[in-house]
Amino acid sequence: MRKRQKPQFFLHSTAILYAIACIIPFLIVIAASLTHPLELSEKGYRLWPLKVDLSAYRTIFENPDTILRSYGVTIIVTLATVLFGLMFMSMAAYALARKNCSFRRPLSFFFFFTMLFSGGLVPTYIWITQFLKLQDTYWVMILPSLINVFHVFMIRTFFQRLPPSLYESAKMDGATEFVIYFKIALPLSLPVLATVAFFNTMGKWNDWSTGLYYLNDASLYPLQYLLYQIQKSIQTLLIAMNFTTTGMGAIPIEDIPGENLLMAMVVVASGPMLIVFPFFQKYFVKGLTLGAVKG
Amino acid sequence: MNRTKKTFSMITVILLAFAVVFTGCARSTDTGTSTTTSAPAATTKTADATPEPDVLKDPVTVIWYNGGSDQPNAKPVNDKLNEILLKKHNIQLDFRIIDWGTYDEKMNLIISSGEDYDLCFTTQAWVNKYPVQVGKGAFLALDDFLPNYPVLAAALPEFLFEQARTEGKIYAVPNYQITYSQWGFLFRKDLVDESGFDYMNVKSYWDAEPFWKFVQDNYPNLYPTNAVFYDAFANVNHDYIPVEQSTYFKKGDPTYKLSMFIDKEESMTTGMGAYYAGIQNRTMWEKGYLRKDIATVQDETADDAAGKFASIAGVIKPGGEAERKKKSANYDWVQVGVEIPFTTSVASRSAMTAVNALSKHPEEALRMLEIMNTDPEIFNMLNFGVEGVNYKLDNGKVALIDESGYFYNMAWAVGNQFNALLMANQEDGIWEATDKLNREAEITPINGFSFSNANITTEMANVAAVTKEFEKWEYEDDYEERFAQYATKLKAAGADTIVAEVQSQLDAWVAANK
Repeated sequence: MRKRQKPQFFLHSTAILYAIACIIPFLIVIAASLTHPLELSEKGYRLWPLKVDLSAYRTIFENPDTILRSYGVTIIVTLATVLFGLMFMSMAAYALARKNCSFRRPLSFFFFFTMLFSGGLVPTYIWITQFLKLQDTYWVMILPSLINVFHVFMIRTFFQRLPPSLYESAKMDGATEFVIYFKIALPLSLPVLATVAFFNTMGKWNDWSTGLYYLNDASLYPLQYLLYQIQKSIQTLLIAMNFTTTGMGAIPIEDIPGENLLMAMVVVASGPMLIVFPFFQKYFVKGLTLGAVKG
Repeated sequence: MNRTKKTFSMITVILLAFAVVFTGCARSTDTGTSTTTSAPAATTKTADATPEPDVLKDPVTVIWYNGGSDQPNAKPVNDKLNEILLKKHNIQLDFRIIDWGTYDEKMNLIISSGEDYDLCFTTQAWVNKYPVQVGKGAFLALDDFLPNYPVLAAALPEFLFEQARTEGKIYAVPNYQITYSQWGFLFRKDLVDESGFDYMNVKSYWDAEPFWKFVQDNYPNLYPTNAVFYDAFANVNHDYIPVEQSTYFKKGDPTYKLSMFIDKEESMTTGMGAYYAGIQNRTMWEKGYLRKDIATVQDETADDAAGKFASIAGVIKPGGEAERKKKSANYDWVQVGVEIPFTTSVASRSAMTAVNALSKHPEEALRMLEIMNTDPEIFNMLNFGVEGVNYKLDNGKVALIDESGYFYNMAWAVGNQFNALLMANQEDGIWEATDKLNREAEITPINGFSFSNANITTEMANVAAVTKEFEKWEYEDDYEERFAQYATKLKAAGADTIVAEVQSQLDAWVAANK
């Protein structure tokens, strides 16, 4: 009994410390968003605001056009990526899982290879902008992220671990491969599908690099890129003011938003994820462990 | 059999995959080589070209990347702009705005992917860095082209082009704006009036003390000044010429011997360097002219916006009072220069326009640049939009029409700032005054010398880290001890190596140019 308690205590305290380390930055963000910029610059960041000041949230919600539009973009892109992504990934996984699929091994290897090697940023950029001409469209945010090979293999492993007799009996009852996939394999794989969906939702919701590389049209900015862009603009302008003494006066310094506004936007942007997480959580642990044990 | 087949297919797949990877690499090296080959080819092309107006040719569209904020109503303005460009100059402009925050990253991608463009904004050390891009061969050398554009050359002072010269060639045209800098003070006008302080006679740093004393006695909730002591206040006549990395040489010294003034005695006798400045700051702080918490405060923007500073040390320029007024709670300000106006060797590089080395029509690109620098109608339309739609002229000054969706207002990033219309809060004659001062200001004896930090990046990073660590050493209780540590750490971080490197590059430049 005693022997068992010790590692448990150790595990739990590590987990608790880690959880605290994760929560503190978030608390600081919330506190900063509720602090007046003047106080923020005088007193610095705190865990709890001395005086609650809602001016940042007022600014956001008084003129919500930009942020609402970005919300819309992010929601559309996330939904599309997750739904179509699940469809394509599970179909690919199904094919790779079935033993009667010809060229199964070379195909698996072909998939697997992209996990290890990729062309890198510049070739990808050339491919997307100059051949596919996807820049400044919704497609650039959706198409390239539809298939994640790691997730394909997760789903494949799950499909492979379903009892083979299920497939056989369905086959004997005259079901086509598509019917087996859709009516048998998919409904039985909800845990892994939910896990993958959750990963994709998180990934897409927090994705800013696509916007950075491929978007110039402000009406297409997703939420995270909007934040990134505002923050970068503040930094760039501050650097410009520091090192150039000449001619930069034309930059309207009074228009630079305060840090509290930025933090308030972070809170507004990440709020929905807090709601989504518990919804997926019950599948989450199951799906993860299943993916881990190779069949 | 099956086994060999499998191995074989495996190898084929691997080879194919690697082929993909290698084409990826080949592509970028390819861009590099074609950069070097295409430049001379383009040069010969211009030599043959006759400078007659190309009215009969189809108009060429010039693609120009620049920074700024997104303009929702850019299309009608661009259409109108192109209509006039077609009529007057038979050329078309595709002006693409990238937000400042992401300009650097996006421009890097555009350049390294070999995307088609003609002109782009570049700076020495801020975004789309000039020395880096020139090193990569991204920009076209303009020396052979410029003689064909006499209007452009005549519109801008000659020293401007020289400042862009690097590795022997001019790779960009600086945007003409204020080129000199002059340090001095700005005082809040209401307090100056109240105290009767004769601000016009401030000739040195400590001349402002009566004003600070007055503020301290009468307005205890204001900070008398933010005026941290900079080298500029000791070096009012520029007896020491700044070079790079905080090194200076004495004016007229035939050996151009550089120093960073880390040594305490040297710093005190010359008035240059961190020690002397720190002692001045400490005295100011002890006398209560600087805020008490100066050692810990990080960001003063909010205090500034609330108008808590009674005086500000900084750069003085025509129209500076009005700009200051906008920044700090609408108080009126007066300004006085302490230092003489001085032009450093690469001052104009803070905003330049370069031509893509791979540009399909470099002549038209330069033509567009000439138009932007010399044709106020085009230039102002790009900056302010269409008159009557996006702005109105009120006594000859730009008054915005609300919600018109276009107000680019980046004259300094596009071309000749002095062709821009005045905004309502700018004084009449501000551009003429600045232009005059530009041409009158003392120009550094090493005009055009630029420094490459490639050999000393480690030392620079180390020195920057030490400087950051000891940023506010003068406000510590044991400040003498702190400075001694600071000096020791600076030496250990490689300050001497930096001085030696700047010295050797300067010597080489002097040998070649003097």
